[in-house]
Amino acid sequence: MEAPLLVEGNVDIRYGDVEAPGSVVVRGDVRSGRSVSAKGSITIHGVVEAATIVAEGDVSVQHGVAGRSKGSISAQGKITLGYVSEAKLDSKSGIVIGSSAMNSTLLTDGDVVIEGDGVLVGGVVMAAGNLTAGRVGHKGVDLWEKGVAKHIVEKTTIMLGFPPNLRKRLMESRPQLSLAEKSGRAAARNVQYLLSRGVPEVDETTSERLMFLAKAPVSVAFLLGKGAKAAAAVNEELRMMLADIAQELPLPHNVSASEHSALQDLSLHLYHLFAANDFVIDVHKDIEALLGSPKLNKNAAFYARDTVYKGVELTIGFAELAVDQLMGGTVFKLAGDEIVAEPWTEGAVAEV
Amino acid sequence: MSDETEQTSKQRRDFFRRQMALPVGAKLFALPGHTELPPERDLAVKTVNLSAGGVLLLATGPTPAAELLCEGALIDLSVSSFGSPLPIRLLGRVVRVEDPGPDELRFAVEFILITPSEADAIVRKVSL
Repeated sequence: MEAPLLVEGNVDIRYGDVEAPGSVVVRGDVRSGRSVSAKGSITIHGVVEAATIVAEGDVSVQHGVAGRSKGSISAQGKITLGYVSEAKLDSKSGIVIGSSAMNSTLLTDGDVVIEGDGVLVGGVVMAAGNLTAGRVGHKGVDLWEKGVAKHIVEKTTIMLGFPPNLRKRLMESRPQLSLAEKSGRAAARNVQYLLSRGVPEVDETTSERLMFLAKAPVSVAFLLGKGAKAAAAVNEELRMMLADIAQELPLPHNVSASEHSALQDLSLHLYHLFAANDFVIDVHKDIEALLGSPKLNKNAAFYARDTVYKGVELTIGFAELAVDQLMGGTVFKLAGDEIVAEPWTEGAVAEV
Repeated sequence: MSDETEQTSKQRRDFFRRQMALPVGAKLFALPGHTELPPERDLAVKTVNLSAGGVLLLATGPTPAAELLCEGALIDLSVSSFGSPLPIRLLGRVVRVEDPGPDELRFAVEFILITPSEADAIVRKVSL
């Protein structure tokens, strides 16, 4: 096995950037503006400043990363470090932090562990697996809400259950999913009204299918469970039903003004539902092409050993929870479609 | 001219129309008398002129869907350049198909499903 490239001092403006075909060991710091990249692993004994570290193996930083919003570490393997502040960590395998993560972005397809009573304060955690930490969030949330401490500490946001690249793509669809739900609800109201008025365009059979389609069956859960092709088939049925109604537009005047208006509204709401579904399905087709059939890790959980402060925002899968009070040691996990909170116990993590 | 034709004709002139070549996403949505549609529904088009009431489109390339275009066909339109990150979606009906020369196809589309805010956005765009 090839010996690692050894840098005895700092990687700084005098030493220049490092690009190694194997592994790298830096005895000193990696200073701001510099980069270290390696086909193997990277071990840094000092501090990483606003620098860029890229490894195809593991990355270990014995002290920590003070990134000043520009530092980043990206690794196919695991990232292990003492602390991280104002930096971005992106690992395929997992992230282990000794003492604290502050105002940083932690992305991984694995777990994030902040050891012992270590703190997670501000920033974003996006992980497919678990998050374990001692204290999470910060006391100053009331000040933060008033805008007083915004420049010091950011909001703490935790998203678990999906790999970060999938989560980011799924989030693109959120506004359209909301629009689909809203349009579906409005369409359902129109269908009920028109059925009650006996308007021939919306008879019993039609209304039954329209009510099913209006309840927005095309959801992320549906897409993840059945795939984009099945969702496209549902939307195709909606297109055909809408086409039947829309072919008659502008509407005949042999109905009352309110029925006329309700039919026009129904067409518009169904069309918005169709268009929103269409957007979401297109995004999901891209996801399937790029990432294969994505799955939710239903066992992903957030383990807070000691304290969770008010203001922490947690998402596991699609379920969301905003912590609205100071909590002691707590385990947050999925139960069906909701997040439930249970008291922390010593064996909690091991039970997973 | 029948009352209905006169009304339609008047309505088509109710909105200020402006010559502008905007890229537009267009898909065949329905054909009169047909429930099923072929799987290839995309139309390659750009606008010739635009108003809050409709749009004149020029086919920029041959597609299987373009060959099916006829009066009464419904077109699903997606129009960008309105200051929003997402395009606005409009459903329109083909009211005229023009075939002015070889390999050239223009068709006029009347919007049948459009919200007042979308119509306002188009009015602002064509009034600039």
